[in-house]
Amino acid sequence: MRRFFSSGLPHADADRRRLLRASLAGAAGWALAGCGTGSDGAGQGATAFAATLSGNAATRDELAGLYREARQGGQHTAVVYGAAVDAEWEPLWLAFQADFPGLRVIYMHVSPTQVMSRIDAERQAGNRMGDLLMQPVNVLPLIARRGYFEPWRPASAEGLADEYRDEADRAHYPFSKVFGLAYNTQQVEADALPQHFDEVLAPAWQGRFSYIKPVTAVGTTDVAFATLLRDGVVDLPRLQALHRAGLFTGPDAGVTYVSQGRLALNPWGYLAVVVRQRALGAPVAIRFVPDFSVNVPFGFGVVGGAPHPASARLLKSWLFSPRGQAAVAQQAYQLGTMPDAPPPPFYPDNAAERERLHRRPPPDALVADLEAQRGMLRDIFFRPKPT
Amino acid sequence: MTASNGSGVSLQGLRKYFAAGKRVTTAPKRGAIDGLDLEIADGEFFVLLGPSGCGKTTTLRCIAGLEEPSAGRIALGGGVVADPAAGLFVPPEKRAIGMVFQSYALWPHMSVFDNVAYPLRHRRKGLSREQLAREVGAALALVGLDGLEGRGPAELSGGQQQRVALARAVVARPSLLLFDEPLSNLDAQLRQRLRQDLRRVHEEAGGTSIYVTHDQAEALALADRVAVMRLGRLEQLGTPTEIFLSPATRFVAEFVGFDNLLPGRLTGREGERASFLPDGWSREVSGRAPAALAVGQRGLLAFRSANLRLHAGAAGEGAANAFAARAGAIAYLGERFQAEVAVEGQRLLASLPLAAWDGRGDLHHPPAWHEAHVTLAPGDAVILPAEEAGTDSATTDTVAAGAAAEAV
Amino acid sequence: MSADFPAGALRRPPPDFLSPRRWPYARLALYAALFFILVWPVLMLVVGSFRSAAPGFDGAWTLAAWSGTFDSPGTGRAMGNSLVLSLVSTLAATLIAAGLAFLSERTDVPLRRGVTPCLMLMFATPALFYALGYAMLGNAYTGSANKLLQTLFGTGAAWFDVETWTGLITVMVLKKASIIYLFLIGPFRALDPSHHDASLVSGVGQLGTFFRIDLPTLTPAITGAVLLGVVAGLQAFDMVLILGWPQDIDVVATRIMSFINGAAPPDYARASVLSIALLAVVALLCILQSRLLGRRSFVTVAGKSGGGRRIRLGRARWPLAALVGLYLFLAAILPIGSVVFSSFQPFPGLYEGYSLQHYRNILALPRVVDAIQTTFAVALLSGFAAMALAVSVALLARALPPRRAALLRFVSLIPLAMPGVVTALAVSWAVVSVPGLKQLYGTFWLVTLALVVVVTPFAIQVANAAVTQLSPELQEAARIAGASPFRAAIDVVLRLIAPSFLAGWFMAAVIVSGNLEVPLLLRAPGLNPISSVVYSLYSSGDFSAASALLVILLLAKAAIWGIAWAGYRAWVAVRGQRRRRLLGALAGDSGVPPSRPAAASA
Repeated sequence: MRRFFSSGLPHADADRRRLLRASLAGAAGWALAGCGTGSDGAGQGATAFAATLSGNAATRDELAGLYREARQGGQHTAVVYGAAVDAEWEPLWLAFQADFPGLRVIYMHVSPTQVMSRIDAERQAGNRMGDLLMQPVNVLPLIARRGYFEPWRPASAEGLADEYRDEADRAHYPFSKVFGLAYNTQQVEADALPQHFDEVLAPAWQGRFSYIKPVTAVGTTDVAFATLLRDGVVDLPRLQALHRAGLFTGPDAGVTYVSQGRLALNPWGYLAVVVRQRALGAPVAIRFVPDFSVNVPFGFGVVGGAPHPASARLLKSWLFSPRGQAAVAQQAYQLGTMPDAPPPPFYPDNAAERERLHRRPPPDALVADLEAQRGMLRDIFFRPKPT
Repeated sequence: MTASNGSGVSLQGLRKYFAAGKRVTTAPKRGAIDGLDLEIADGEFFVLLGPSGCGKTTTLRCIAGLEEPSAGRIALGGGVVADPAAGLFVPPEKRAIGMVFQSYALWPHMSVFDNVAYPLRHRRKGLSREQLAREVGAALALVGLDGLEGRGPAELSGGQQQRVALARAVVARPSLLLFDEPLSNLDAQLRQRLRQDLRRVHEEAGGTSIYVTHDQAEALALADRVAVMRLGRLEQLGTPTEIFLSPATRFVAEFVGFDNLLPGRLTGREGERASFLPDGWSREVSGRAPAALAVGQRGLLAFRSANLRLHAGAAGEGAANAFAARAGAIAYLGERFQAEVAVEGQRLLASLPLAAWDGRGDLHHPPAWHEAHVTLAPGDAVILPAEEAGTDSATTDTVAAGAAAEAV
Repeated sequence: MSADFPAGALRRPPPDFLSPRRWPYARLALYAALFFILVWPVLMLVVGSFRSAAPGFDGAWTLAAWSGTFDSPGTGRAMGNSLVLSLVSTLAATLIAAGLAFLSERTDVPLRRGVTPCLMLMFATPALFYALGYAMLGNAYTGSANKLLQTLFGTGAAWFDVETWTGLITVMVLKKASIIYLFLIGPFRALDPSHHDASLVSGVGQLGTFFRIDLPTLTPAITGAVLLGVVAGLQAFDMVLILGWPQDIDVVATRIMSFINGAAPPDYARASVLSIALLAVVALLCILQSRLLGRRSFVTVAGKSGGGRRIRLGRARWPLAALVGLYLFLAAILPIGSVVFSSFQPFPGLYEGYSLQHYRNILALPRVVDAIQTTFAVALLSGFAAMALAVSVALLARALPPRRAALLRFVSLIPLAMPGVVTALAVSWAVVSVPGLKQLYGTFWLVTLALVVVVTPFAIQVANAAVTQLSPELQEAARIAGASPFRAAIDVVLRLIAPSFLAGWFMAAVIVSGNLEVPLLLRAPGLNPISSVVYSLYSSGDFSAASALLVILLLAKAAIWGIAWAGYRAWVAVRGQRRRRLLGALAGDSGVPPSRPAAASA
């Protein structure tokens, strides 16, 4: 059997033991230092660190003030519960942390169905951890209405269109996730792509495309359908035909299937994944065909009674600042909602093209639409495929 | 004696190495055999006797076919069953043997009946169920266990299990029976009883038996002939009487209980009688010497403490083998007393009959005698050849101790 | 009065059932800890199935979950899938494992020395790793095995599709065979050779002896292995998650997970009901097994070891060796190689441009460095806590009367019946139902606690094995020499079992570091162990990054193992030197070489 405590000459013995104990303790200490919530990244004293600010005077003042407040109040983290898988948001948080040294964003993936119970449980347990909720537009208004947020409007969100803010200022949407028509470049030529909804129902595309299953936790397809239904592009028979022709996938799998060559198309496919996989060399590309594109705004609300209110507000404010909006586009590949936000890669940057894309109804109307269509969608898509 | 008929066993130049290819040296790996030649006669009860690690079990297993010899020849009943040089090896299931193991080796998932019937079913195929039952019943009756056919081995006592193992070994009427220390797991009383049963079964079965043990009392009680083994070699081969009374080497002498050993020189002889001068002694001792030992050669005088009698008072004049002694502490052995004595400046162990000591004073202390002397009958003193050069007592002890330490 | 007592004597009150002497605090504390960790969660799970709200919330008592769960077709399908998966894979895996154990222990087939180390490696590899490896290898579109075969033989269609029922079962069989093999190897080795020999001398050949004698003696062990395999199959999670989702294969564990993570609001009650159903099935299986074996105890009396003669295979040697080699290749080398390979690929399906970019990328992510630290910390802590508990239980069980000791052991095996998902759920229920502990909900400590529970049965096996080798006389000798009970325990027991403790700690840490279900279910901000980072990378399509991270995990484990090994060799060398010096000193004194003491057991 293995024994770790070597036994040599008495003094060498003791030295060796001490060294071994010290190194084990050191390793354990290093490990334990890196765990748990709210562990402090740079962890230095509350001296002035140079924050990088952007935007107009009001924005800069707000950012500077919140930063100071956070540092002085010992709030070194902002805990975000978001409805998306963690991997892709890291670059965005890193950009924030670069702008505001000494602060750290701790992001945890909590799905829309779970997030309210999570907050409730934390409140019940008396152990509040979440500061901000990042959720899509199909659930955020509900959460806001149930009183989870404290109303607070960042100065940097001056100029934000009304459809991107809650009327009581409980939640604001700094960016939208972008979905377009992703396709496999080896199997499909760009000009052979379907341009209208009906084209994808053709036999040529039968079984060669997938989309996220409707009426599940991820609402992308639901939002798309709500938009298309409102604009009269689809109706019940067309949706049934869609069900017959295509396949379902989980949230991020659609683009992956296309990259792997399993399928040729992914309507309402996630741009950020396309960008990342394409950068690695996958044969995937994306086009913003109006009928197969949708933007799903993601909003932030500061949780009432959050443990780190200052850093939470700072993060929310930063997301609307010019630097934040640029980071959103370039690090996270999302579309900022401020009027002059730069577009993410591959997204059309001229207004004309953007005009062609369908406009989604404002949040409350959207929520009502989603509610209304749920039954119909369930009837269509939760049955076995019609032959 | 040649084993050309019936069930005699013949071993010629048997060698078994355990470390692949290495020659056996003075400190052999446990259990190796280094050149064994034995001829066992048909119907004989032959005992292999020796300490743990001497190779006796390995020899038995080679005869059984459970080990393959590295060199040599084994023949059972005249037919060669193992000859590595000729590439011949008959597997155990093809040899007509029965074997009793030290751990009984009764199969736990079978009843007593099935255990005993197993060899019958496979060695003598084609028996009807009645015949089978009759043979099994006969075997069990032979060992005194009729009526226990239905039990499982776990429900039997140690002695009963051993009897079942015995019944299983004899049921198929093998011509050769092998016993691998069958009684060593049993307590002393049971051992005595079963010993008699073993011998009786051997007589009634009528074949040859080879029995392995480290217990000299067992060997002497059971054997027709005994082979004492040590470090893979034969030390001495003879009848129990020869082994017990006339050991041929120091090792055998110590093994059978000679507790006084004195190195010295043979000074004269007259047929069987010889005179021997131990180193440092002033007078000679007369004893028995084998013919091979010549006058003037160095040798070893061996005698049992039971035969060296201690007497109070001075030795009579002219008495043979009477020496002045100073008595030391006395211990009680049950049937006699044993005393440490100093004779000619050396410490020996001597005996006192129970009657000689009146119980006055403490045991474990020297008796309050003015003078004392010891006597030894010449017939009880055996003169052995000296050890070969290069094997002194220290090494022997070390190796033996090492072998004992490694023994399971 | 004091004059009657000699100095140092203890005053002992008359023996009384409740007197502190019979119930020392330490023992009580241990019982309490065991109860809280092992029994209370199951009780709370049952209670939770009757509640309408999440753990810790105000809710009503309701039977809705009980009536609703089994009606839903999805649940029925999941249970059916689980049973089929479990039974089929266990059957195949047991055959393979028994064959391998027989070949490696009783025959002289070449390659036999590599079997046990390879299978131990497979056992130590997390199921996640395995599943990922096969997914990379055998998926019909970009699988490297398919690509290789297509290049070599030129057919268009894919040869394998591992993301199907067949693929899933095959992969499960390969992994499960390693668990069952390690379970069977002990009984195979412990087969009394004299039983085998007795059959040979009774006239039955080698093969006949194997089927008539060896195999029946192994029946208890084999049924135990089959039971273990079935239970493990019912708990399958990682592999089903990764390989089963294209075909939407749902099993009980994933279904429980989807009740909690996929329903809005999370349906804890239904999850609890399904968990209890699973536990009931496992309990039934255990009872069935003990009934089948009945009172037949195949205890073999230990006799002299005759060397365990191996069967000579003759002409069948090389074909059998090829089979063994094929299994080792398929089961151990291929998946690990596949993960390593895909960590260098830019993207699955691309066969050029290999580089270390993925390693660079993920190590640059603070999240990944955090994950490594977190995993290390959690594994270290949980492993230590589990082993400490296990050693205490093992030592305690020795001092108890047999029935209570058996009960103790039974209780300690409860978590074995629960998949990680159920354990996490049960522990959540247990923790929030205790007033002072509610705050632990959603924190690092809850996850650690759940992992301790998950790994305790394994730790107890190791601790039992170590402690049973210790004779109580060792402690008694220390007591007689003047040590207090506590001191005797430390000086004698702990020092002697230190090697096993450390080995068990390492093994528990390995199991914890590969666990995916608990972190997926019990989330805590900032707590992202490697397994969940790998999973999130995988599900967002970053396969190669996931592979790179897994390779790093494997290298870290190997490094720790290597350090331990080097430390052991160094210690053995130093010990040998010290002993020689000591012997030399002794020889110098008396001039007689002392006899060598019996070799210490390694």
